[in-house]
Amino acid sequence: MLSIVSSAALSLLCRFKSGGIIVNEHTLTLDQTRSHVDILHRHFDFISLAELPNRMGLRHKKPFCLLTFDDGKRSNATVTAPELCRLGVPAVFFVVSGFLDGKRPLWFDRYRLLQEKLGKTLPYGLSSRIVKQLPYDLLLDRIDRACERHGVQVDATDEDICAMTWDHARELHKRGFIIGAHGVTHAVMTRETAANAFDNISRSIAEVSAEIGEPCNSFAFPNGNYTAQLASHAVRCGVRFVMSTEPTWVDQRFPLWRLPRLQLFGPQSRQRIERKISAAALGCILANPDGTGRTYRLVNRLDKLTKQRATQSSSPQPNVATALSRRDD
Amino acid sequence: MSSLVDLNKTEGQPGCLKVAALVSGRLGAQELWAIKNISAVRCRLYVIRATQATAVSKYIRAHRLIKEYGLLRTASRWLGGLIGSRVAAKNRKMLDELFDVGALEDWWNHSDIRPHNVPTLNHPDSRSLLEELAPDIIIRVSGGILKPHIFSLAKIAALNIHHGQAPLIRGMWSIPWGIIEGRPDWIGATVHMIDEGIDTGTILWRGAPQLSPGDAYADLLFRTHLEAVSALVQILKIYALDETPRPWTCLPQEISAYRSAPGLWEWIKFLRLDQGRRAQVLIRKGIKC
Repeated sequence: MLSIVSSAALSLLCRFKSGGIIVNEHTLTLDQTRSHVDILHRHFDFISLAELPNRMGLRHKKPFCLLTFDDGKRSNATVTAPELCRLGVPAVFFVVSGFLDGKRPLWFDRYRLLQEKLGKTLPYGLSSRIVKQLPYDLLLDRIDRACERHGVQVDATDEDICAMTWDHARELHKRGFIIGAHGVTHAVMTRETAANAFDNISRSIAEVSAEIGEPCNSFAFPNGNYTAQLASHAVRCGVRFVMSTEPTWVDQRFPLWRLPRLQLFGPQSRQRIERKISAAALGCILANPDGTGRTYRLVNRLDKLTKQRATQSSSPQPNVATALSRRDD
Repeated sequence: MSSLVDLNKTEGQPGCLKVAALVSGRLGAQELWAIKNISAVRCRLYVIRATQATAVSKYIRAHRLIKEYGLLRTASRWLGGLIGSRVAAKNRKMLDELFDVGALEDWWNHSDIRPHNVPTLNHPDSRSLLEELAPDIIIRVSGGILKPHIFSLAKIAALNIHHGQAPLIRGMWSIPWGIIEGRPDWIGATVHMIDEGIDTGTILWRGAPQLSPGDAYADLLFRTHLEAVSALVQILKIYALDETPRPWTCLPQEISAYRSAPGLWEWIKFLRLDQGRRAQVLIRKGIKC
């Protein structure tokens, strides 16, 4: 019953709502890839990144869906991308440039293993509300110490944990997928000093461009936390599309430097995905996974207000002659 | 002087600074973080701890406050403090975890540093101890306002970390004042020399963390303190090389404001802004202005 309701609600929304969604995935198995594509395809048109600016402002029969994958895990290249290729679904892969080709797992994979091993008794200073507040060096130091103390080791052969290689990334690019930048490290940019964050962003964009052999045109903030200043910096570094993790639909109201993305996970059921997409359409229900809750509502409200004020102040005042001619009419 | 500890075993080496870190009351996460980082500089570090914040009785303090601010404002400050104490306790708990106070206490207990206890930082005992130690640098890590007979005992400089961007904002609680009054330029920290005024000494460094939507006071204070302590360490390294850090140049048009402890209204406003999470000054950082 719930399944029918959520499906019907989403169908109704898709009929009346303009714009579409940008989906943020991480790793998917073959079955999960098929299932997600199937669910999304019922309601959305899959589009490529290049089509995004045009589709944001136009109403189509179906709203659009742009698939994005974060981090650059090996399974993205060996499992998901070939299946997407077979299904003819375009996607963007945002890679952590310092992670590719490397053997060191990303911090949150080790953190997840710590969570699995220790349950709720995580070491002091590593609780879930704290970890994403820490600058990267401090965070790594704490996780290193905790992993060592509790004998947590990551399976380096797990394709959902280890990185793809730059050869994989180039191969994806050749197949028509877009390779975007996702930082040199997976540091939460707003927790770093401004200088570190700027350097991290510009280096990652430069590294992706150099390795792919083509200017990198998209950047996704690790963990989603952003500021306008950081996004502007990414744009100055040459990217056109900057993505966050605000869990809402995308339409022409959003600038290309602040594109919201809806996070989905592999094991999520069809009902859950449809419910989540429906809730995202309202633009105020879901919490942002970047840890800032529903602050994005205030950001969007203030943005709307600022734009309205700017329009009001820039709209030309009717001059006396026009006013008089109107009166004559 | 058996309890004085030469942290880096560098006594007698050229460029070895004698640093006295002044703290008041319990050594919290912020204080321990500062002391740990200072101790990483090539220096002899002495920690002087005041067992009480002030020697002035509550009655005299209340009398002085009423004389300075009037009865209504003093009552408002008292009520504000009452409401704020619970919030402050929560924030302290959050900061303890952000700084990983457990690991810091562990370091402190194994560091062989034994603090010299004095009744208050401005007490004659504190003065005689400092005269005996003859530090090159005095650093006020926590505690109230230092009197000239204390800070003048530093051979080179007496330094302070002010959690606010001086001279734009001076006094206490500067980051929340920045949130309440919508002044992003107040949020940050200053490392300055101590003089007779409040946060008026020569500025050696001034900076701010990134402000982002969703930040709250504790997050901002944490990141501010990290940046300020790291700047302080750089300044100490310059002094250790027998050089003098260049003063920070402030813009001539900067208008200085002084804010003291918040009253009831300010606390209510601060809490209504969810300690910054709902403050326009931070929300605005998410949109292009």
